[in-house]
Amino acid sequence: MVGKHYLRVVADNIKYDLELRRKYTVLRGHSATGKTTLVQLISNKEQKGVILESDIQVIVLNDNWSVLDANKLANCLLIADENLVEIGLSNNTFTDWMKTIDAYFLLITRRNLSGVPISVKEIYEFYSEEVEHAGRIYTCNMLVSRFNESNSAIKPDLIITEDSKTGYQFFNAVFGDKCKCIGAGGKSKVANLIAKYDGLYNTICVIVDSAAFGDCIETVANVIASVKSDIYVLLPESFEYLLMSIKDLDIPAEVLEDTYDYCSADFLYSIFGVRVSKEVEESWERFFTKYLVQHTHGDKTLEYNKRTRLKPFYINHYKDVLSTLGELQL
Amino acid sequence: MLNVSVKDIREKIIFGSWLDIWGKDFLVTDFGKYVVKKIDNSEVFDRNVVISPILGGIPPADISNGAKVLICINFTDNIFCISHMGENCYEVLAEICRRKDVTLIADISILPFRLGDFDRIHFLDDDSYVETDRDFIRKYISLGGV
Repeated sequence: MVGKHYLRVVADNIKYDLELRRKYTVLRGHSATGKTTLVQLISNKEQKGVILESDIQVIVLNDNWSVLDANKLANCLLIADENLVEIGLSNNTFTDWMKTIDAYFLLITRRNLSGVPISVKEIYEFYSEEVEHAGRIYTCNMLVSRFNESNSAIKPDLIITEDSKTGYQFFNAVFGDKCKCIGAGGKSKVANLIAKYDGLYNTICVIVDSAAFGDCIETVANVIASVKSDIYVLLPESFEYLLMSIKDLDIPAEVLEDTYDYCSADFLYSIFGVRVSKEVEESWERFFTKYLVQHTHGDKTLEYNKRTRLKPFYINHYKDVLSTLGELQL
Repeated sequence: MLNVSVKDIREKIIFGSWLDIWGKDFLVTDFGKYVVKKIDNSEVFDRNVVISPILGGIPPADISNGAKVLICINFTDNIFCISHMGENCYEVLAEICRRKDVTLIADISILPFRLGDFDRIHFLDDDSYVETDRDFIRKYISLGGV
């Protein structure tokens, strides 16, 4: 499933307006802020006079999700409330099942969905606060809006990359003579490393793939809230996304800017004539990796593989990469 | 006292099965009414109806999950997960913990000392105590929670 889709739900005193761009979107936040109410309104729209507008079919999942016909769920928006997600998480059956369904999922949960590649940019938080003379105010923001943006270039003493392969190779080659570089060896290890090196380096820069870091971002944020060092977290979509921004690779801009329209196995087949697994649609990180691998296949100077040595071409074009990344300074 | 466990506890309440432990009078107690007002901004009409400013009259099943969990924590000794409640529930959780021992499965997505007035938190895994969010996070990580 591809595309940018919308869901609008309006009732007497409440209105929801959501845009969905990837396979997984998460709603979380304070209790009693309307997350479950959204599900209830959709489930009972005929009875409660609710107006529901969407460009795709919307289905609220219930306990019988595992026996539903996958073909009838294709290209739909499937909504799972907290209770369902929690019960499904207890034995991974729900998360495994989601991978087999060609649909977009709206998940209401505070749990870190380990193993589900959720983008940091597709987590929304619901808040409530008491405002003098106005009563209780409800807001919904992207999770990343919680974090302060850096207004100046970062000169780190330590760089931590999410991976220990090509991403680490790149930043170590570019920055290694100026600062220490460490590859975390996986997103679940990033928070640990930050805590370990806190206080040993003044300025630590952490570079992770935002396209699939959603289940770790709050852990990292909470670790950062308790440390002494200055910590900066850079959130490009993925390392491969950064490489794809190298102008000499001639990758169409729309693939990077409007990825929601292109992130599919069918699109990759139409461009490269190679069948890939539908797993590529689980996250934009996987899509960018597959695209770059196929785009550079057969060219000895450009050939990209996550597991092998990074070609000098990419390191030599570090300026394009850093220009896309933005804040990091040599 | 708030007791937390990094290790999963099999006896914990699975989200959604709170109905099995819900007492029919929980809602009409002073505490039940207080939680519904504070968390849901709603009024308890009777044991079967809550008046919501957004939804009108709703059954107890439709109050927020955080309110349900807080009420169950107050009136039972069952174990829940920290992630069952939103951040706005921690002030009330701290109040409960000043009156009785509460056990939750820990989660590093919450900074409890920032959210509620806890004196200290007890980690069951190694029988240790922490008094700040910084120590909470470090203890959680050292016990393999991350």
